[in-house]
Amino acid sequence: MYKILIIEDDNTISSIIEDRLIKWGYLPKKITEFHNVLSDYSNFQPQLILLDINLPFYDGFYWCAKIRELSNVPIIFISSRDGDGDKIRAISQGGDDYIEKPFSMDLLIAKIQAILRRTYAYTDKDLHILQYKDLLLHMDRQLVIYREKEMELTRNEFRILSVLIQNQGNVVSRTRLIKALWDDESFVDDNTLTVNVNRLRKKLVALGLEDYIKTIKGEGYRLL
Amino acid sequence: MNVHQYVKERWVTFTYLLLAFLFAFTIYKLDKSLHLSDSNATYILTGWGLLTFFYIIIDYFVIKSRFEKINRFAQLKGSTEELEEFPFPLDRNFAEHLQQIVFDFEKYKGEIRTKASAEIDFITKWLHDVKVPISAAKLTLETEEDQLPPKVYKRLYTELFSIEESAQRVFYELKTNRFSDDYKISYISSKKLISTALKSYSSFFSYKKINISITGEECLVLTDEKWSSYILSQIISNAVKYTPKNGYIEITTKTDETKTIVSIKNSGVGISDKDIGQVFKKGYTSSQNRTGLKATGYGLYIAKKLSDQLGHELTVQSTLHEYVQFSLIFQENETIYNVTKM
Repeated sequence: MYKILIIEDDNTISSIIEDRLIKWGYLPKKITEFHNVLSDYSNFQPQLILLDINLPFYDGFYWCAKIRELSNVPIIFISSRDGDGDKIRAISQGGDDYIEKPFSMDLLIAKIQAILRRTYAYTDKDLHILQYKDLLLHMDRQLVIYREKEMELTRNEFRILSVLIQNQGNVVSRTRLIKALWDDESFVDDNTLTVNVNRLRKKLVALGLEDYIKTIKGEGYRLL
Repeated sequence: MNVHQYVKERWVTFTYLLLAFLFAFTIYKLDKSLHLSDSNATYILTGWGLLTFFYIIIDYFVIKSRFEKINRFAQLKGSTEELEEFPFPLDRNFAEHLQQIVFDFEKYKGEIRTKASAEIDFITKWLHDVKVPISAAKLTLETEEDQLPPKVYKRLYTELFSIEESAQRVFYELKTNRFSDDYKISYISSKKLISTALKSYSSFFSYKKINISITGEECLVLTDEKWSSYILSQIISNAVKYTPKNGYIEITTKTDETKTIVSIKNSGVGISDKDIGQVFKKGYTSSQNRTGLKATGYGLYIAKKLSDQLGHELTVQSTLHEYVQFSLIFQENETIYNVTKM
């Protein structure tokens, strides 16, 4: 399990991030004492750090530089500052990515997954897998596995399935799925979502899972 | 100072001289007992005439130099010439007042500048501060989505989004007034601009089931990334507001040697010919009924202002009851010229 350190002084935000990361199968820890972030870092030894810029005592840039003296652990900045200057500074001080507030959790999760995949997928022996009943989703290789059979998924199919699995059989609205699919590369509208879900259904049928994704009319989708 | 101005300045003196001469001359003519030989009369007249002539020449140059000195003093805002260098009391008095006014003016200007920059700092700080609770509220809403009735979720989300948009707008409006401080021109991919602009509107595309198509090749345009994406996002925000349910939004990129055009077209009621000239005006909103995001009449105004400042062109076309299309035109060469000119 990947360990993720959350350095964010707004308690609502850090708690929500913590909850969601636990649901996604990570091991998060939020910092409550901002005097000495470094000792928390050393004790916890995280594989990834989420770092706010506006913090009490010292700002995020300071801690980023301090942590960089010790290790190359990936750092994602999360900040309400949206000036180019701040972004450039964050990256040049050793940050790996920069997310502007307000942000959506699905976007944050996607960035975390991408960075972890880039940094550790080829060196780490631990498998990062999401599970729903007998269905397994290999996060690093975008594979769906069911009873010894496996199937490769496209980026969109993978994202849809991972959001559905993460909600463990609860209804996920179409809007939320669309939000999760929008990024720098693709902009999916309502029709395209239907097409993608149908393709995903076909792949699941090929694995022997009939009717696995239920349509809830007027609301969205859920897993059986 | 020309002759005309000089005469205007000195008309009292000249009138006095003329009257004094006429008075002496009249007395002389009326009183038969006064006798002057012709040669003496010529001497007196010539002498008098020469003296008057020299007086006028000297006086003219003295006045002219005083005039110029005061002018120079005023142009240099009273900074270099010392007050002691004004020998005439009138000039000196004038210079003293001028200097006081200039001093007050500069002080006032300095105060305004300090105040304005303190205000900008405050608003920037406030903007960062207000974004934290907005993010917290959005995340909370997102996490509780399945606990809430979809209608409630959608309404709250839309309202939160409006708050966020308005807060952002404060920042950009402030920035447009001090544009020269903060821009960076470089080659940016048109696709990147579009995707940055589109990103936050995904939910509204979904709520209204708007079909989206993005066509055209990816090309590099010379612009400031942040400002241009903001312009496009304001156009998209507008398009999302006015597109009806199940309508469409088409984003097209076209390019030739001299320019690149990014067009955003949306279906809907369109804008009538009589209103189309108003769309970029501050505070203009259509009277058509709207759902979801509220129109403020500021988005397109700021978009236009920014695009002018960047040296791009922002145009609008519409056919009533069919579509509205906004085009942002990046000129290859003029962009640099217009920006450096400012």
